[in-house]
Amino acid sequence: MLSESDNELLTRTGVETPMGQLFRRFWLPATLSTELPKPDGPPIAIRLLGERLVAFRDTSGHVGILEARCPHRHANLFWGRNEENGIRCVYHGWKFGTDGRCVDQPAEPENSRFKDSVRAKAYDTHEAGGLVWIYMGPEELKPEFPSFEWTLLPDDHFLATKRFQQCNYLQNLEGEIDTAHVNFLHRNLGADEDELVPKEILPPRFDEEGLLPPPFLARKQFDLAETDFGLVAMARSEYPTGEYYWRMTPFLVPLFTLIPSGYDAFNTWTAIVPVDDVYSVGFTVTWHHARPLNDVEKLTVTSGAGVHALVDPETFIPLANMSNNYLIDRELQATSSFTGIYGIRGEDLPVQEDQDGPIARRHEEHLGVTDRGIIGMRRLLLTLVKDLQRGVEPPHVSRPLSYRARSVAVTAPKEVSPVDLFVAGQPETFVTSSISQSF
Amino acid sequence: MIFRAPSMRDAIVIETLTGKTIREVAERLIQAKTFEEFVYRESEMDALFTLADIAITTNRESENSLPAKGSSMQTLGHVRQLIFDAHDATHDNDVKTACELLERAATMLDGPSRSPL
Repeated sequence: MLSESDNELLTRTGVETPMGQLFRRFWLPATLSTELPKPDGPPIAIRLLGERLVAFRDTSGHVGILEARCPHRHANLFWGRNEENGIRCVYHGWKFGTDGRCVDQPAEPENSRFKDSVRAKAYDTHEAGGLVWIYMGPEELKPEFPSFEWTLLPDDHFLATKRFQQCNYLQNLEGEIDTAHVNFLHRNLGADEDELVPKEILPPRFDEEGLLPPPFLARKQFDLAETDFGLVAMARSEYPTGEYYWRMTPFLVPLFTLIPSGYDAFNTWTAIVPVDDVYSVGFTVTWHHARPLNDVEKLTVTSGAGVHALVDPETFIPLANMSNNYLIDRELQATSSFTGIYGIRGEDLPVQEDQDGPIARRHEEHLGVTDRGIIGMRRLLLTLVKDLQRGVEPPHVSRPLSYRARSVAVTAPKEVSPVDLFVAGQPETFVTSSISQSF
Repeated sequence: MIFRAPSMRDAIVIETLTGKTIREVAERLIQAKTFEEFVYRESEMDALFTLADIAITTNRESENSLPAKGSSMQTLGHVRQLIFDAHDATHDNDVKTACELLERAATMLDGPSRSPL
Protein backbone atom coordinates (compact mmCIF):
# COMPACT_ATOMS: atom_id res chain seq x y z
CA MET A 1 0.00 0.00 0.00
CA LEU A 2 0.90 3.62 -0.21
CA SER A 3 -0.08 6.45 2.07
CA GLU A 4 -2.53 8.88 0.52
CA SER A 5 0.21 11.50 0.38
CA ASP A 6 2.67 9.19 -1.40
CA ASN A 7 -0.08 8.16 -3.82
CA GLU A 8 -0.71 11.83 -4.59
CA LEU A 9 3.02 12.39 -4.98
CA LEU A 10 3.34 9.56 -7.52
CA THR A 11 0.20 10.19 -9.53
CA ARG A 12 0.17 13.97 -9.99
CA THR A 13 2.33 15.01 -12.92
CA GLY A 14 1.48 18.62 -13.80
CA VAL A 15 4.23 21.16 -14.27
CA GLU A 16 4.18 22.33 -10.66
CA THR A 17 4.27 18.85 -9.16
CA PRO A 18 7.37 16.94 -7.98
CA MET A 19 6.56 13.91 -10.15
CA GLY A 20 5.92 16.20 -13.10
CA GLN A 21 9.36 17.64 -12.56
CA LEU A 22 10.92 14.17 -12.36
CA PHE A 23 9.32 13.10 -15.65
CA ARG A 24 10.54 16.32 -17.23
CA ARG A 25 14.14 15.24 -16.58
CA PHE A 26 13.80 12.45 -19.17
CA TRP A 27 13.27 12.14 -22.91
CA LEU A 28 9.67 11.00 -23.37
CA PRO A 29 7.82 9.74 -26.45
CA ALA A 30 5.37 12.40 -27.63
CA THR A 31 3.83 11.03 -30.81
CA LEU A 32 4.32 8.58 -33.67
CA SER A 33 6.47 9.83 -36.54
CA THR A 34 3.75 8.67 -38.92
CA GLU A 35 1.34 11.22 -37.44
CA LEU A 36 3.48 13.90 -39.08
CA PRO A 37 4.11 12.16 -42.37
CA LYS A 38 5.40 15.02 -44.51
CA PRO A 39 7.01 18.45 -44.31
CA ASP A 40 4.56 21.34 -44.07
CA GLY A 41 1.75 18.86 -43.42
CA PRO A 42 -1.07 19.45 -40.96
CA PRO A 43 -0.01 20.07 -37.34
CA ILE A 44 -1.35 17.82 -34.60
CA ALA A 45 -2.59 18.65 -31.12
CA ILE A 46 -1.05 16.70 -28.29
CA ARG A 47 -1.26 16.88 -24.54
CA LEU A 48 1.49 15.64 -22.24
CA LEU A 49 1.99 16.03 -18.50
CA GLY A 50 -1.01 18.34 -18.44
CA GLU A 51 0.41 20.73 -21.06
CA ARG A 52 -1.42 21.49 -24.31
CA LEU A 53 1.04 21.32 -27.19
CA VAL A 54 1.11 21.48 -30.97
CA ALA A 55 3.50 19.42 -33.09
CA PHE A 56 4.40 20.10 -36.71
CA ARG A 57 7.00 19.00 -39.23
CA ASP A 58 8.57 22.02 -40.89
CA THR A 59 9.76 22.43 -44.47
CA SER A 60 13.15 20.88 -43.67
CA GLY A 61 11.52 17.83 -42.05
CA HIS A 62 12.38 18.80 -38.47
CA VAL A 63 9.60 18.32 -35.91
CA GLY A 64 8.80 21.18 -33.59
CA ILE A 65 6.65 20.96 -30.47
CA LEU A 66 5.38 24.25 -29.08
CA GLU A 67 3.00 25.25 -26.35
CA ALA A 68 -0.37 25.19 -28.11
CA ARG A 69 -1.38 28.73 -27.26
CA CYS A 70 -0.03 31.55 -29.34
CA PRO A 71 1.86 33.93 -27.02
CA HIS A 72 -0.12 36.82 -28.52
CA ARG A 73 -3.80 36.23 -27.63
CA HIS A 74 -3.62 32.55 -26.73
CA ALA A 75 -5.41 31.21 -29.80
CA ASN A 76 -4.54 27.57 -30.35
CA LEU A 77 -1.75 27.14 -32.89
CA PHE A 78 -3.29 23.81 -33.88
CA TRP A 79 -5.62 25.82 -36.12
CA GLY A 80 -2.60 27.42 -37.70
CA ARG A 81 -0.91 27.10 -41.09
CA ASN A 82 2.26 25.02 -41.28
CA GLU A 83 4.19 26.73 -44.06
CA GLU A 84 7.72 27.72 -45.02
CA ASN A 85 9.57 26.59 -41.92
CA GLY A 86 7.11 27.73 -39.34
CA ILE A 87 3.60 27.57 -38.01
CA ARG A 88 1.49 30.66 -38.49
CA CYS A 89 -1.34 31.53 -36.10
CA VAL A 90 -4.49 32.10 -38.11
CA TYR A 91 -5.73 34.78 -35.67
CA HIS A 92 -3.26 37.59 -36.47
CA GLY A 93 -0.62 35.86 -38.57
CA TRP A 94 2.20 35.57 -36.06
CA LYS A 95 4.55 32.84 -37.22
CA PHE A 96 6.91 30.65 -35.17
CA GLY A 97 9.78 28.36 -36.05
CA THR A 98 10.38 24.95 -34.43
CA ASP A 99 12.64 26.65 -31.89
CA GLY A 100 9.80 28.97 -30.83
CA ARG A 101 11.32 32.10 -32.36
CA CYS A 102 8.76 34.49 -33.80
CA VAL A 103 9.76 34.97 -37.44
CA ASP A 104 6.91 37.08 -38.70
CA GLN A 105 4.31 39.54 -37.38
CA PRO A 106 2.62 40.87 -40.51
CA ALA A 107 0.31 43.27 -38.68
CA GLU A 108 3.11 45.09 -36.85
CA PRO A 109 4.52 48.32 -38.29
CA GLU A 110 7.08 47.93 -41.06
CA ASN A 111 10.64 47.64 -39.71
CA SER A 112 9.32 46.79 -36.25
CA ARG A 113 11.70 44.59 -34.25
CA PHE A 114 8.98 43.59 -31.84
CA LYS A 115 9.00 40.02 -33.17
CA ASP A 116 12.64 39.60 -32.18
CA SER A 117 11.61 39.76 -28.55
CA VAL A 118 8.69 37.37 -28.84
CA ARG A 119 9.03 33.60 -28.43
CA ALA A 120 6.61 30.75 -28.15
CA LYS A 121 7.41 28.14 -25.54
CA ALA A 122 9.24 25.42 -27.50
CA TYR A 123 10.55 22.04 -26.40
CA ASP A 124 13.51 20.07 -27.70
CA THR A 125 12.58 17.14 -29.90
CA HIS A 126 14.38 14.08 -31.18
CA GLU A 127 13.07 11.66 -33.78
CA ALA A 128 14.12 8.04 -33.50
CA GLY A 129 12.64 4.57 -33.69
CA GLY A 130 9.36 5.63 -35.26
CA LEU A 131 8.64 8.11 -32.49
CA VAL A 132 9.00 11.82 -31.90
CA TRP A 133 10.51 12.37 -28.46
CA ILE A 134 10.29 15.44 -26.31
CA TYR A 135 12.41 16.86 -23.53
CA MET A 136 10.40 19.19 -21.29
CA GLY A 137 12.92 19.86 -18.53
CA PRO A 138 15.51 22.54 -17.83
CA GLU A 139 17.72 23.11 -20.87
CA GLU A 140 20.93 22.94 -18.83
CA LEU A 141 19.99 19.47 -17.59
CA LYS A 142 19.03 17.99 -20.96
CA PRO A 143 20.38 14.43 -20.99
CA GLU A 144 21.85 12.43 -23.82
CA PHE A 145 19.17 10.49 -25.68
CA PRO A 146 18.77 6.99 -24.15
CA SER A 147 20.20 4.24 -26.28
CA PHE A 148 17.09 2.10 -26.79
CA GLU A 149 18.07 -0.76 -29.08
CA TRP A 150 15.42 -0.40 -31.75
CA THR A 151 16.11 3.31 -32.18
CA LEU A 152 19.48 2.28 -33.63
CA LEU A 153 18.01 -0.20 -36.12
CA PRO A 154 16.68 0.29 -39.68
CA ASP A 155 13.02 1.28 -39.90
CA ASP A 156 11.93 -2.14 -41.20
CA HIS A 157 13.14 -3.88 -38.02
CA PHE A 158 10.47 -2.41 -35.77
CA LEU A 159 6.85 -1.35 -35.61
CA ALA A 160 5.50 1.28 -33.22
CA THR A 161 1.90 1.84 -32.17
CA LYS A 162 0.03 4.23 -29.90
CA ARG A 163 -3.14 4.11 -27.83
CA PHE A 164 -4.89 6.25 -25.28
CA GLN A 165 -5.82 4.89 -21.89
CA GLN A 166 -8.46 6.21 -19.49
CA CYS A 167 -6.42 6.06 -16.31
CA ASN A 168 -3.46 7.49 -14.50
CA TYR A 169 -0.13 6.32 -15.94
CA LEU A 170 0.74 4.38 -12.79
CA GLN A 171 -2.06 1.87 -13.22
CA ASN A 172 -0.67 0.86 -16.59
CA LEU A 173 2.93 0.85 -15.40
CA GLU A 174 2.03 -1.45 -12.53
CA GLY A 175 0.34 -3.80 -14.99
CA GLU A 176 3.39 -3.90 -17.24
CA ILE A 177 5.62 -4.95 -14.36
CA ASP A 178 3.15 -7.44 -12.89
CA THR A 179 4.12 -10.80 -14.33
CA ALA A 180 1.77 -12.66 -11.97
CA HIS A 181 -1.30 -11.73 -14.00
CA VAL A 182 -0.12 -13.26 -17.28
CA ASN A 183 -1.24 -16.82 -16.56
CA PHE A 184 -4.68 -15.62 -15.48
CA LEU A 185 -5.79 -12.53 -17.35
CA HIS A 186 -4.17 -13.59 -20.61
CA ARG A 187 -4.96 -17.27 -20.25
CA ASN A 188 -6.25 -18.82 -23.43
CA LEU A 189 -8.48 -21.79 -22.74
CA GLY A 190 -9.12 -22.61 -26.35
CA ALA A 191 -6.84 -23.82 -29.05
CA ASP A 192 -5.77 -21.71 -31.97
CA GLU A 193 -7.75 -18.54 -32.33
CA ASP A 194 -4.60 -16.50 -31.88
CA GLU A 195 -2.54 -18.42 -34.39
CA LEU A 196 -1.32 -15.21 -35.99
CA VAL A 197 0.42 -14.19 -32.82
CA PRO A 198 4.01 -15.35 -32.68
CA LYS A 199 4.53 -17.63 -29.72
CA GLU A 200 7.20 -15.24 -28.48
CA ILE A 201 4.62 -12.63 -27.56
CA LEU A 202 1.90 -14.96 -26.36
CA PRO A 203 1.91 -16.35 -22.86
CA PRO A 204 2.61 -20.05 -22.94
CA ARG A 205 -0.41 -22.34 -22.97
CA PHE A 206 -0.42 -25.16 -20.52
CA ASP A 207 -2.98 -27.47 -19.02
CA GLU A 208 -5.55 -26.52 -21.61
CA GLU A 209 -8.13 -28.76 -20.03
CA GLY A 210 -8.25 -26.73 -16.84
CA LEU A 211 -9.64 -23.30 -16.02
CA LEU A 212 -6.69 -22.18 -13.94
CA PRO A 213 -3.05 -22.65 -14.81
CA PRO A 214 -1.29 -25.55 -13.14
CA PRO A 215 0.32 -24.73 -9.79
CA PHE A 216 3.84 -24.88 -11.16
CA LEU A 217 2.98 -21.94 -13.43
CA ALA A 218 0.53 -20.07 -11.23
CA ARG A 219 2.72 -20.09 -8.14
CA LYS A 220 5.86 -18.26 -9.03
CA GLN A 221 8.74 -17.04 -6.95
CA PHE A 222 9.05 -13.29 -7.31
CA ASP A 223 12.18 -11.27 -6.97
CA LEU A 224 13.86 -8.19 -8.29
CA ALA A 225 17.28 -6.70 -8.86
CA GLU A 226 18.28 -3.06 -9.00
CA THR A 227 20.12 -2.01 -12.16
CA ASP A 228 21.61 1.06 -13.80
CA PHE A 229 18.40 1.71 -15.74
CA GLY A 230 16.01 0.95 -12.89
CA LEU A 231 15.21 -2.59 -11.90
CA VAL A 232 14.45 -6.03 -13.26
CA ALA A 233 11.36 -7.75 -11.88
CA MET A 234 11.87 -11.51 -11.99
CA ALA A 235 9.38 -14.35 -11.80
CA ARG A 236 10.56 -17.92 -11.54
CA SER A 237 8.42 -21.03 -12.15
CA GLU A 238 9.66 -24.50 -11.41
CA TYR A 239 8.81 -26.91 -14.22
CA PRO A 240 8.03 -30.56 -13.57
CA THR A 241 11.26 -31.29 -15.46
CA GLY A 242 13.18 -29.70 -12.61
CA GLU A 243 14.20 -26.64 -14.61
CA TYR A 244 13.34 -23.04 -13.87
CA TYR A 245 11.36 -20.84 -16.25
CA TRP A 246 12.40 -17.20 -15.73
CA ARG A 247 10.50 -14.15 -16.88
CA MET A 248 12.52 -10.96 -16.43
CA THR A 249 10.79 -7.61 -16.93
CA PRO A 250 13.08 -4.59 -17.02
CA PHE A 251 11.61 -1.37 -15.69
CA LEU A 252 13.55 1.50 -17.19
CA VAL A 253 13.11 4.71 -15.23
CA PRO A 254 10.83 6.59 -15.37
CA LEU A 255 8.00 4.91 -17.36
CA PHE A 256 9.36 2.29 -19.72
CA THR A 257 9.21 -1.51 -19.54
CA LEU A 258 10.21 -4.47 -21.68
CA ILE A 259 7.88 -7.46 -22.01
CA PRO A 260 9.70 -10.75 -21.34
CA SER A 261 10.92 -12.39 -24.56
CA GLY A 262 13.17 -15.31 -25.43
CA TYR A 263 16.78 -14.90 -26.50
CA ASP A 264 17.06 -13.78 -30.12
CA ALA A 265 13.29 -13.34 -30.33
CA PHE A 266 11.21 -10.20 -30.76
CA ASN A 267 11.43 -7.67 -28.00
CA THR A 268 8.62 -5.36 -27.04
CA TRP A 269 9.06 -2.04 -25.30
CA THR A 270 6.24 -0.10 -23.66
CA ALA A 271 5.92 3.46 -22.46
CA ILE A 272 3.05 5.15 -20.68
CA VAL A 273 3.11 8.94 -20.67
CA PRO A 274 0.63 10.99 -18.66
CA VAL A 275 -1.63 13.11 -20.82
CA ASP A 276 -2.90 14.47 -17.54
CA ASP A 277 -3.52 12.77 -14.20
CA VAL A 278 -6.51 10.71 -15.37
CA TYR A 279 -5.61 9.98 -18.96
CA SER A 280 -2.49 8.49 -20.53
CA VAL A 281 -0.94 7.71 -23.86
CA GLY A 282 0.75 4.36 -24.33
CA PHE A 283 3.41 3.55 -26.91
CA THR A 284 4.39 0.01 -27.80
CA VAL A 285 7.29 -0.97 -30.06
CA THR A 286 8.08 -4.49 -31.22
CA TRP A 287 11.42 -5.12 -32.92
CA HIS A 288 13.84 -7.79 -33.92
CA HIS A 289 17.47 -6.90 -33.47
CA ALA A 290 18.73 -8.98 -36.41
CA ARG A 291 16.19 -8.80 -39.20
CA PRO A 292 13.20 -6.93 -40.63
CA LEU A 293 9.67 -7.84 -39.56
CA ASN A 294 7.92 -9.83 -42.27
CA ASP A 295 4.38 -9.18 -43.47
CA VAL A 296 2.78 -11.76 -41.18
CA GLU A 297 4.57 -10.32 -38.18
CA LYS A 298 3.45 -6.81 -39.09
CA LEU A 299 -0.10 -8.08 -39.45
CA THR A 300 0.21 -9.68 -36.04
CA VAL A 301 1.19 -6.38 -34.49
CA THR A 302 -1.63 -4.48 -36.13
CA SER A 303 -4.25 -7.20 -35.53
CA GLY A 304 -4.73 -6.25 -31.89
CA ALA A 305 -4.36 -9.87 -30.84
CA GLY A 306 -1.17 -9.25 -28.92
CA VAL A 307 0.21 -6.40 -26.84
CA HIS A 308 -0.52 -3.71 -29.42
CA ALA A 309 -4.03 -2.35 -29.02
CA LEU A 310 -6.51 -2.24 -31.85
CA VAL A 311 -7.33 1.46 -32.11
CA ASP A 312 -9.24 3.94 -34.19
CA PRO A 313 -6.55 5.11 -36.64
CA GLU A 314 -7.59 8.75 -36.31
CA THR A 315 -8.12 9.09 -32.57
CA PHE A 316 -5.93 6.25 -31.22
CA ILE A 317 -8.74 5.34 -28.84
CA PRO A 318 -8.97 1.55 -28.45
CA LEU A 319 -11.94 0.13 -30.35
CA ALA A 320 -12.81 -1.97 -27.31
CA ASN A 321 -13.02 0.51 -24.46
CA MET A 322 -14.92 1.36 -21.31
CA SER A 323 -17.81 2.95 -23.20
CA ASN A 324 -18.67 -0.38 -24.89
CA ASN A 325 -17.69 -2.68 -22.00
CA TYR A 326 -14.53 -3.59 -23.90
CA LEU A 327 -16.75 -5.62 -26.24
CA ILE A 328 -16.72 -8.44 -23.72
CA ASP A 329 -18.10 -11.69 -25.13
CA ARG A 330 -19.52 -13.78 -22.28
CA GLU A 331 -19.90 -16.80 -24.53
CA LEU A 332 -16.23 -16.64 -25.44
CA GLN A 333 -15.43 -16.21 -21.76
CA ALA A 334 -17.35 -19.37 -20.97
CA THR A 335 -15.66 -21.45 -23.61
CA SER A 336 -12.21 -20.39 -24.65
CA SER A 337 -10.97 -17.13 -23.13
CA PHE A 338 -10.40 -16.32 -19.48
CA THR A 339 -11.79 -12.81 -20.05
CA GLY A 340 -13.94 -12.92 -23.15
CA ILE A 341 -12.08 -9.84 -24.36
CA TYR A 342 -10.04 -9.72 -27.54
CA GLY A 343 -6.29 -9.33 -27.48
CA ILE A 344 -3.69 -9.15 -24.77
CA ARG A 345 -3.74 -5.35 -24.61
CA GLY A 346 -7.51 -5.44 -24.82
CA GLU A 347 -7.57 -7.62 -21.72
CA ASP A 348 -5.23 -5.27 -19.87
CA LEU A 349 -7.39 -2.21 -20.41
CA PRO A 350 -10.41 -3.01 -18.19
CA VAL A 351 -8.37 -4.17 -15.22
CA GLN A 352 -6.13 -1.12 -15.41
CA GLU A 353 -8.74 1.51 -16.22
CA ASP A 354 -11.51 0.20 -13.98
CA GLN A 355 -9.94 0.02 -10.54
CA ASP A 356 -11.26 2.70 -8.19
CA GLY A 357 -11.52 4.96 -11.18
CA PRO A 358 -8.70 6.68 -13.01
CA ILE A 359 -6.57 6.97 -9.85
CA ALA A 360 -6.41 3.90 -7.61
CA ARG A 361 -6.83 4.28 -3.85
CA ARG A 362 -3.58 2.57 -2.96
CA HIS A 363 -3.92 3.14 0.77
CA GLU A 364 -6.77 0.61 0.71
CA GLU A 365 -5.18 -2.09 -1.47
CA HIS A 366 -3.90 -5.46 -0.27
CA LEU A 367 -0.63 -6.49 -1.81
CA GLY A 368 1.08 -9.84 -1.54
CA VAL A 369 4.48 -11.28 -2.36
CA THR A 370 3.54 -11.51 -6.05
CA ASP A 371 3.56 -7.72 -6.09
CA ARG A 372 7.23 -7.29 -5.27
CA GLY A 373 8.02 -5.86 -8.69
CA ILE A 374 5.32 -3.23 -8.26
CA ILE A 375 6.51 -2.43 -4.75
CA GLY A 376 10.06 -2.08 -6.06
CA MET A 377 9.01 0.19 -8.93
CA ARG A 378 7.02 2.46 -6.60
CA ARG A 379 9.83 2.57 -4.08
CA LEU A 380 12.32 3.50 -6.77
CA LEU A 381 10.11 6.29 -8.17
CA LEU A 382 9.35 7.60 -4.68
CA THR A 383 13.04 7.66 -3.84
CA LEU A 384 13.84 9.53 -7.04
CA VAL A 385 11.06 12.08 -6.65
CA LYS A 386 11.87 12.74 -2.99
CA ASP A 387 15.56 13.04 -3.87
CA LEU A 388 14.67 15.54 -6.58
CA GLN A 389 12.68 17.56 -4.04
CA ARG A 390 15.94 17.77 -2.08
CA GLY A 391 17.82 18.86 -5.18
CA VAL A 392 19.32 15.48 -6.13
CA GLU A 393 18.97 14.77 -9.84
CA PRO A 394 18.01 11.25 -11.03
CA PRO A 395 21.24 9.37 -11.87
CA HIS A 396 19.59 7.26 -14.58
CA VAL A 397 19.62 10.11 -17.10
CA SER A 398 23.39 9.90 -17.25
CA ARG A 399 23.37 6.19 -18.14
CA PRO A 400 21.99 6.20 -21.71
CA LEU A 401 23.81 3.02 -22.75
CA SER A 402 22.06 0.96 -20.09
CA TYR A 403 18.74 1.71 -21.79
CA ARG A 404 19.80 -0.64 -24.60
CA ALA A 405 18.61 -3.54 -22.44
CA ARG A 406 16.48 -6.44 -23.63
CA SER A 407 14.05 -8.51 -21.62
CA VAL A 408 14.54 -12.21 -20.93
CA ALA A 409 12.22 -15.22 -20.85
CA VAL A 410 14.15 -18.45 -20.63
CA THR A 411 14.14 -21.98 -19.26
CA ALA A 412 17.37 -23.00 -17.61
CA PRO A 413 18.82 -25.48 -15.13
CA LYS A 414 18.25 -24.47 -11.53
CA GLU A 415 21.88 -23.86 -10.81
CA VAL A 416 22.25 -21.09 -13.41
CA SER A 417 22.28 -17.65 -11.80
CA PRO A 418 19.48 -15.30 -12.92
CA VAL A 419 22.03 -12.54 -13.29
CA ASP A 420 23.98 -14.70 -15.77
CA LEU A 421 20.75 -15.45 -17.63
CA PHE A 422 19.91 -11.76 -17.85
CA VAL A 423 23.36 -10.78 -19.04
CA ALA A 424 23.35 -13.56 -21.65
CA GLY A 425 20.25 -12.03 -23.21
CA GLN A 426 21.70 -8.55 -23.65
CA PRO A 427 23.14 -6.99 -26.79
CA GLU A 428 26.90 -7.17 -26.92
CA THR A 429 27.17 -3.41 -26.79
CA PHE A 430 25.06 -3.28 -23.64
CA VAL A 431 27.16 -5.88 -21.86
CA THR A 432 30.53 -4.45 -22.75
CA SER A 433 29.62 -0.89 -21.95
CA SER A 434 27.65 -1.42 -18.77
CA ILE A 435 26.91 -4.65 -17.02
CA SER A 436 30.28 -6.28 -17.25
CA GLN A 437 31.73 -3.66 -14.95
CA SER A 438 29.68 -4.93 -12.04
CA PHE A 439 31.23 -8.39 -11.75
CA MET B 1 26.89 -0.98 -12.77
CA ILE B 2 24.66 -2.18 -9.96
CA PHE B 3 23.13 -5.58 -10.52
CA ARG B 4 22.94 -7.53 -7.31
CA ALA B 5 22.04 -11.17 -7.29
CA PRO B 6 18.66 -11.79 -5.65
CA SER B 7 18.63 -13.29 -2.18
CA MET B 8 15.33 -15.11 -1.99
CA ARG B 9 16.25 -16.94 1.16
CA ASP B 10 15.73 -13.70 3.04
CA ALA B 11 12.02 -13.45 2.24
CA ILE B 12 9.63 -14.23 5.10
CA VAL B 13 6.39 -16.06 4.41
CA ILE B 14 3.57 -14.13 6.07
CA GLU B 15 0.57 -16.29 6.90
CA THR B 16 -0.41 -15.24 10.42
CA LEU B 17 -0.73 -11.93 12.21
CA THR B 18 1.15 -12.50 15.44
CA GLY B 19 3.63 -10.55 17.48
CA LYS B 20 6.24 -13.16 16.62
CA THR B 21 5.78 -12.66 12.87
CA ILE B 22 5.84 -8.89 13.20
CA ARG B 23 9.04 -9.02 15.24
CA GLU B 24 10.60 -11.30 12.64
CA VAL B 25 9.96 -8.65 9.99
CA ALA B 26 11.33 -5.91 12.25
CA GLU B 27 14.47 -7.90 12.98
CA ARG B 28 15.16 -8.25 9.25
CA LEU B 29 14.21 -4.64 8.56
CA ILE B 30 16.76 -3.22 10.98
CA GLN B 31 19.44 -5.18 9.13
CA ALA B 32 18.28 -4.27 5.63
CA LYS B 33 20.87 -2.54 3.51
CA THR B 34 20.08 -3.15 -0.15
CA PHE B 35 17.23 -1.86 -2.26
CA GLU B 36 16.02 -5.44 -2.72
CA GLU B 37 15.96 -6.14 1.03
CA PHE B 38 13.87 -3.05 1.68
CA VAL B 39 11.41 -4.19 -1.00
CA TYR B 40 11.11 -7.64 0.65
CA ARG B 41 10.42 -6.07 4.04
CA GLU B 42 7.93 -3.69 2.49
CA SER B 43 6.08 -6.57 0.83
CA GLU B 44 5.98 -8.38 4.17
CA MET B 45 4.50 -5.34 5.88
CA ASP B 46 1.95 -5.18 3.05
CA ALA B 47 0.99 -8.76 3.83
CA LEU B 48 0.71 -8.03 7.58
CA PHE B 49 -1.45 -5.02 6.83
CA THR B 50 -3.64 -7.17 4.58
CA LEU B 51 -4.25 -9.71 7.35
CA ALA B 52 -5.26 -6.98 9.81
CA ASP B 53 -7.28 -4.92 7.39
CA ILE B 54 -9.26 -7.75 5.85
CA ALA B 55 -10.14 -9.06 9.31
CA ILE B 56 -11.37 -5.63 10.36
CA THR B 57 -13.19 -4.59 7.22
CA THR B 58 -14.98 -7.91 6.88
CA ASN B 59 -15.53 -8.09 10.64
CA ARG B 60 -14.83 -11.77 10.33
CA GLU B 61 -12.52 -13.56 12.70
CA SER B 62 -10.67 -16.32 10.91
CA GLU B 63 -8.63 -18.80 12.87
CA ASN B 64 -5.89 -18.60 10.29
CA SER B 65 -5.52 -14.88 10.16
CA LEU B 66 -6.22 -13.62 13.65
CA PRO B 67 -4.06 -13.96 16.77
CA ALA B 68 -4.89 -17.00 18.84
CA LYS B 69 -5.57 -14.85 21.88
CA GLY B 70 -8.69 -13.43 20.25
CA SER B 71 -7.66 -9.80 20.08
CA SER B 72 -10.40 -7.25 19.97
CA MET B 73 -11.24 -5.36 16.81
CA GLN B 74 -10.06 -2.20 18.56
CA THR B 75 -6.65 -3.74 19.16
CA LEU B 76 -6.49 -4.93 15.58
CA GLY B 77 -7.34 -1.42 14.45
CA HIS B 78 -4.36 -0.05 16.36
CA VAL B 79 -2.12 -2.80 15.03
CA ARG B 80 -3.23 -2.09 11.48
CA GLN B 81 -2.41 1.61 11.84
CA LEU B 82 0.97 0.89 13.39
CA ILE B 83 1.88 -1.44 10.51
CA PHE B 84 0.69 1.16 7.98
CA ASP B 85 2.80 3.83 9.65
CA ALA B 86 5.82 1.53 9.84
CA HIS B 87 5.45 0.85 6.12
CA ASP B 88 5.28 4.58 5.47
CA ALA B 89 8.35 5.25 7.61
CA THR B 90 10.23 2.60 5.64
CA HIS B 91 9.40 4.47 2.44
CA ASP B 92 11.03 7.49 4.01
CA ASN B 93 14.08 5.40 4.99
CA ASP B 94 13.29 5.96 8.68
CA VAL B 95 13.99 2.37 9.64
CA LYS B 96 14.41 3.10 13.34
CA THR B 97 10.92 4.56 13.62
CA ALA B 98 9.49 1.76 11.50
CA CYS B 99 10.95 -0.88 13.82
CA GLU B 100 9.69 0.93 16.91
CA LEU B 101 6.19 1.02 15.43
CA LEU B 102 6.36 -2.68 14.57
CA GLU B 103 7.52 -3.50 18.11
CA ARG B 104 4.52 -1.56 19.49
CA ALA B 105 2.24 -3.57 17.21
CA ALA B 106 3.85 -6.84 18.28
CA THR B 107 3.52 -5.89 21.94
CA MET B 108 -0.20 -5.20 21.50
CA LEU B 109 -0.66 -8.73 20.22
CA ASP B 110 1.83 -10.81 22.18
CA GLY B 111 3.02 -8.61 25.04
CA PRO B 112 6.50 -7.12 25.50
CA SER B 113 9.44 -8.76 23.80
CA ARG B 114 11.89 -10.67 25.98
CA SER B 115 14.74 -9.59 23.74
CA PRO B 116 14.10 -6.05 22.57
CA LEU B 117 15.36 -5.07 19.15
